[in-house]
Amino acid sequence: MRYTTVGGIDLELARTRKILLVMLMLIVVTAIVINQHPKTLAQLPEAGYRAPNFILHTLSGHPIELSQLKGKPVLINFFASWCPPCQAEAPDLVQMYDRYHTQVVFLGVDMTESDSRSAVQAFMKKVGIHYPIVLDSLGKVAKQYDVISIPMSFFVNAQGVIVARVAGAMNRNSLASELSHLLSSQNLNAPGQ
Amino acid sequence: MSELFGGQHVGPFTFYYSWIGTFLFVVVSIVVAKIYGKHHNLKDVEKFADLILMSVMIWIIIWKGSGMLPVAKDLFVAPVKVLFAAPASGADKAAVIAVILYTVLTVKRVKPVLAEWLDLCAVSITAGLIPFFLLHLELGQQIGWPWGILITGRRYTPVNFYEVFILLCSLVMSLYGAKAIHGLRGSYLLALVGVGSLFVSLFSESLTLWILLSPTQWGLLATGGFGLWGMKRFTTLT
Repeated sequence: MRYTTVGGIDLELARTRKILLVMLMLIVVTAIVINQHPKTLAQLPEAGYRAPNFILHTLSGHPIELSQLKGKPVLINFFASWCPPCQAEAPDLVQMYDRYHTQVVFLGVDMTESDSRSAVQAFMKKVGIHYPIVLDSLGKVAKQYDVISIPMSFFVNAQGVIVARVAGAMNRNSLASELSHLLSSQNLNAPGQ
Repeated sequence: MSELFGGQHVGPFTFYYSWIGTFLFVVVSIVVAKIYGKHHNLKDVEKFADLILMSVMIWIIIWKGSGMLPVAKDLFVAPVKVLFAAPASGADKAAVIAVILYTVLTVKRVKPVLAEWLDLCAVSITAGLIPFFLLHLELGQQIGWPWGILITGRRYTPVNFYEVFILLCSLVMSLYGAKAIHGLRGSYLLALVGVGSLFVSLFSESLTLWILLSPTQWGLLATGGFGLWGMKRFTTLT
């Protein structure tokens, strides 16, 4: 900016300001127009995006596909039986399952790549888990969901959109608040689906 | 660059790249504030640096503590459960409110020269946001261009890198283009960042709209508007 002062007014500064003001107004108008268009949500493991689809098998070999659960809110919990925070979280998850299983589908994804079937079975028995557990034997789904620390949970609404991604062990309070947030977001529209 | 989605493992701990970006944001902001303050003989630079540090501490304590508090009684029985507790829902919003309150109270207590702190704040925060966005992957709309970030077979706009470019340009333009009058440089920088980042927001994705614009766009519009209002004062004062 050069500074040419006429009658106490800095002309260059005033001109720069005017240009920025016009640009700001043009961008706001463009943003309003763009925001009115329906958006096609991408499949990404982040809140606000569609949950990436996957097919995994339960311990008994029964296949579960995420897209088939569309229409119901889903809680996906990535865990491993050897992981201490997962062990700490599991009893609270079971308790919440007992309370919410009619409204929310609970799905445990075991990181079987670093775990074993027998250890998972023993863990389920010990904690009393009776919601479905699927085995991510090759670690593909964990990679798809960018799970680099466990436990990690994804709250997916009935439209298949991730409402929250929570890293770390949740307790009864945080689970209850996330689940009620998930249920209240059921009416959220996911354009472009 | 899609590796930015992950993090680094150190023993049982995982450090996300976005956390490293946040750490660098704090360090760079404080260092730049001190250098800028010394170079321009500004008062209360140390207090400004303390404000940044304390704000970060408050944010972390409220964010992390929110998850630990309900299970605090288990600290000696099940310490893992307490230490690895996930933050409570909405903890980030509560932390931001606490930081804003602390900032307002500090400004009231210190009574700084506001024009000086405006420059300090705008320059240091903008500089700090550059490493923050470099390590904080933010994907926008799907694109076909080769510079898009490839994730799950599709390319997405690397909004965070666009943001870095805008911040860098704005910072250079304000440091070399604006007269060193207290308040003017800060206002000019805020106006540039507001306009530039609002432009970048056109490439991002947001489902939430608050009366025609997304919450981020409203924030950037307010930033740009504040900067332009500040500049207006100097068109007659210089």
